[in-house]
Amino acid sequence: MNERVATFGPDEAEALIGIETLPPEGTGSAERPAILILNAGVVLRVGPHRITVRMARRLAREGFHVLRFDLAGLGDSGRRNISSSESPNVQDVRRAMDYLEQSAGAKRFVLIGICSGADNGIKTAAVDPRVVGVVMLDAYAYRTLKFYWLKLRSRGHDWDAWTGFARRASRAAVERVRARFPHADSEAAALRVQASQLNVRYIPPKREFAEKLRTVVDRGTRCYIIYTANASDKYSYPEQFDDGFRRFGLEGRICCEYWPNVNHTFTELAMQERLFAAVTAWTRQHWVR
Amino acid sequence: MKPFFFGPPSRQLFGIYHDAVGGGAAQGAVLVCGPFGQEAIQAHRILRALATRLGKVGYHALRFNYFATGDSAGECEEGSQSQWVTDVHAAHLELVRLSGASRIAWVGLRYGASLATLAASSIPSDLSELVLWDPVVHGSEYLTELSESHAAFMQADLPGWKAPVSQTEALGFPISASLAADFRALDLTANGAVRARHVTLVRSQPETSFADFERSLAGSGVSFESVLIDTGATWKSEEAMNTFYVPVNVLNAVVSRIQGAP
Repeated sequence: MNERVATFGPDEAEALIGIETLPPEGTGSAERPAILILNAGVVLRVGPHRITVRMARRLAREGFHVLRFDLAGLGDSGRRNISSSESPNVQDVRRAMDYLEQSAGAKRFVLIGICSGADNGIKTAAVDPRVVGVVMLDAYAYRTLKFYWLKLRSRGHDWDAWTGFARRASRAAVERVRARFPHADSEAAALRVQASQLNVRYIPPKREFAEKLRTVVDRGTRCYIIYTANASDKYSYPEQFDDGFRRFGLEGRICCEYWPNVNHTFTELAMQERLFAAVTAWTRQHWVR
Repeated sequence: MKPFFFGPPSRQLFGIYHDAVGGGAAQGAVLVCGPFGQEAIQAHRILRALATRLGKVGYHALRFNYFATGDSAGECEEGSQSQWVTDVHAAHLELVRLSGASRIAWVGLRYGASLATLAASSIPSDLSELVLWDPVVHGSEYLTELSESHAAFMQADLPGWKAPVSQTEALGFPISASLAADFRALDLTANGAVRARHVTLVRSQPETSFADFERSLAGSGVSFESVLIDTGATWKSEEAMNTFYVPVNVLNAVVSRIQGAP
């Protein structure tokens, strides 16, 4: 496998570091987008269990030019100086795209990420039209009425479960109404800042996520979401995405799968193989003729 | 900090070379041998911090990935103990070439400390210091620990998970039959002498005992000391992978041992 070090960014102190995996000679094509694999949480660019290394090599064998790199402050990349930018991670992903555009002539990109990597993928796609595909593994998940119903049905005559359901359903209804008023945006922004300071994952209001998805699918960007068992406190049946996002006009427009027998970081080898096969098939379907 | 590949193209190893800071004559150079599998992911930040600290006190440092691990060439299933010992030697030569230093120390963490111990038996000149941080002394016990950690994690993380009949993987990494055999055969107490002027054995978990390894080091005639620096950390968990944890007290102790090496 042909791999080389990629170093890019504003200066040496803030340099971002990654590894490019090149397709075997004769298999690449200018039509194919380049692929970026993003950090999962604070795990370095090799990914949990070296998943991203293996995925990069699989995708390169399909003819894709792949870059997996560390965001500023993670892995071997430099620290980030205080920035006024709202989303420095998005800035880093765009820098990686700029780098591949200049060094390899790539014009279009597919972003792949687990958890926070998925979050950074969709955030970048929403603001950068060079992104033509996003794979989100355990993207933001939102409960639906059917989710609650299935949960309750599995609990039978458990009275506490029913009262808990009533409490959560009324709270959700209140939140839905509150989200329609202007102050909701400033509250969400404050929570987002708090979450970034505490290094916890900030889950935006569903409407915000839906708007980003709408923005990207409306311009023709392909999205592929896989929810694992990790999301089971919020996601519990295959059609839940369509049910939850129907009112945002997203039903049937995003490939979404539910893998309840797989954990968040695809720990076991069979789970990893399933992931590689699914992502490879999806990219091949859209970009390999 | 310079990331690069070295070695033959088909088996290229990934390394990161840290220059000593300050521009004056360096005190020496340090090769950092990381752990195996899940522990390698967890230890990345720790070892980067160690190399940075060493640079600040005048030591060049090289971190690297063994063949079939991290960013190096090779698929996970292709790793073997003999290959990784060879990789330690290759990285040592690369460090000598890059740094020009004649005073070389090695720091090994967990299974990396075991590989360093095996590799240090067959190098042409003595290391100034060999730091062995929580080494895997008995590979058979390590294999059992990996298996138990895998089962405990999967049971907690995936309701309904069933343990496989045979162990062919642990915490996300394959354990091939030949690698399992390598682990089973690993016994540092039977390793014999290492070529180092001094050995420091660092124990970061009070419940672990290295008594038999200490006896074997004493029996080999090497100058050594054993220190306990309690960090409360665990190496065998997948949850630890996604943390910023760096045991500064251990890093300080390691750096001071290297500075005070004969």
